[in-house]
Amino acid sequence: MSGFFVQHASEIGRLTLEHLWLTLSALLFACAIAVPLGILMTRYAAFAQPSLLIANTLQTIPSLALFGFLLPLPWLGDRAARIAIAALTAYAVLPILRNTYAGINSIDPALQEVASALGMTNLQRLRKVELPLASSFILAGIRTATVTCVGIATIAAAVGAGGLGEFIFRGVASVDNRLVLAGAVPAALLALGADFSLGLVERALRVPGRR
Amino acid sequence: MSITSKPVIEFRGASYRLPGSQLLLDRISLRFEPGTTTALLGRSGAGKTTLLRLVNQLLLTSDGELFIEGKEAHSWDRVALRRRIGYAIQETGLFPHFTIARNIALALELEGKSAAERRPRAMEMLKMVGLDAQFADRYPRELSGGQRQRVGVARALAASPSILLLDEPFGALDPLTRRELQEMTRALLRELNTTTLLVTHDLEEALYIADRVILLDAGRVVADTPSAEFRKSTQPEVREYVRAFRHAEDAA
Repeated sequence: MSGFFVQHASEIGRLTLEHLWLTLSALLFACAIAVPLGILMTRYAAFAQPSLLIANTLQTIPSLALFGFLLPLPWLGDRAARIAIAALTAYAVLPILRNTYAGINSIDPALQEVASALGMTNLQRLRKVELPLASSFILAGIRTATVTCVGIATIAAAVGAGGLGEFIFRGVASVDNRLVLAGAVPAALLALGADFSLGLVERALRVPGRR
Repeated sequence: MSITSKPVIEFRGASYRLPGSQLLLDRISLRFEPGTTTALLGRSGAGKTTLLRLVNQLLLTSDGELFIEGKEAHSWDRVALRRRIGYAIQETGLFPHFTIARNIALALELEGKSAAERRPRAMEMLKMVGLDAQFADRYPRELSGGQRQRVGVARALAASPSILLLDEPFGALDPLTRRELQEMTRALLRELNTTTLLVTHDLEEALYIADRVILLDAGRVVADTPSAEFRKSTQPEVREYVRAFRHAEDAA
């Protein structure tokens, strides 16, 4: 078994990097969408429920189906990696969006009021008070999204986007458990590693005494 | 106080109505002269805090007029106006992720003052409210309630505001600490030329710190007297309030 891993080391390395690349790109897009949207939701309450509903609905689409839906789309469907990143982004949005919204909304209203009363502009309030106090919540959302994405990214191989799922699909097709494990074990380690390290960051960002 | 001196804050028939149409302040007309300290008394829901919030434009008058430093409140740039107004509330007002020094000098930071200007001012204010310099780099959670409240007062005064709004600043403190802070605040206000509005439930505190006491009830001014004359007032509303307070004292 270990001999098998050594033999395939370079391929495992390549696919792991590919896997990481898909996941990280998707997370980057998801943050770029979800954090500003979450902030907007705290400013315009009417905006909050519909946004959460859409993000929730996206989350319920089975991943294999979502990859399939995106396939015929122009531009997106041209490259497998684009489909994979778009689908992963869709899944990563909800946890980040929800946590950004909740993180800011749960700040003690008295602090929000004092921030305004001291003469903070909207932007100052966001930068100096809301984002720092909500940062550990937002990071917790990113952490959930990361673990989810690492897992779902294995399915990206179904549309030819590569990643560790390639081993798994090949292994399933050829009934070779070693191949399945060559994909599953590094994917699991990635998820655990991301969960652990982001957990550390989350703890570091937490503001003690925040209510 | 001459009658002709220009008021810093002037309400002219100002009302505040909640969106749901409940009237919280009903045609208030009041003048606050420079350098005076006025206590706002009244039962919960009488409109005391609402009145403060109209001054710093956290709420906007629904009717009537409100002038701040001679200028219609609505025509002030809200951020600019708030930076001229010190504001302190019960305990919760300090930012937990800022050090004490940063909390104190926040108004200066918002104005874009450099760290080199902010630090000495923060230290000066710490000293002014009777706190040791070693507190500067601590966080609010590391301080006692009384110490935090001192920091709250220091922060409200750091930018030398012309108006100071205190909303039950000592409400959550034990009687001894409360007394200390009242003494400190009284001395500070006498020294500074700030126009102060103090919301409190404590009659003793009102009479001790303020030169003038206003009693609100259901959104209206029912009494407005110099502190020294409040207890002597024959007005039924005032007598009722004083009696209720004495009752609590007697029971204790």
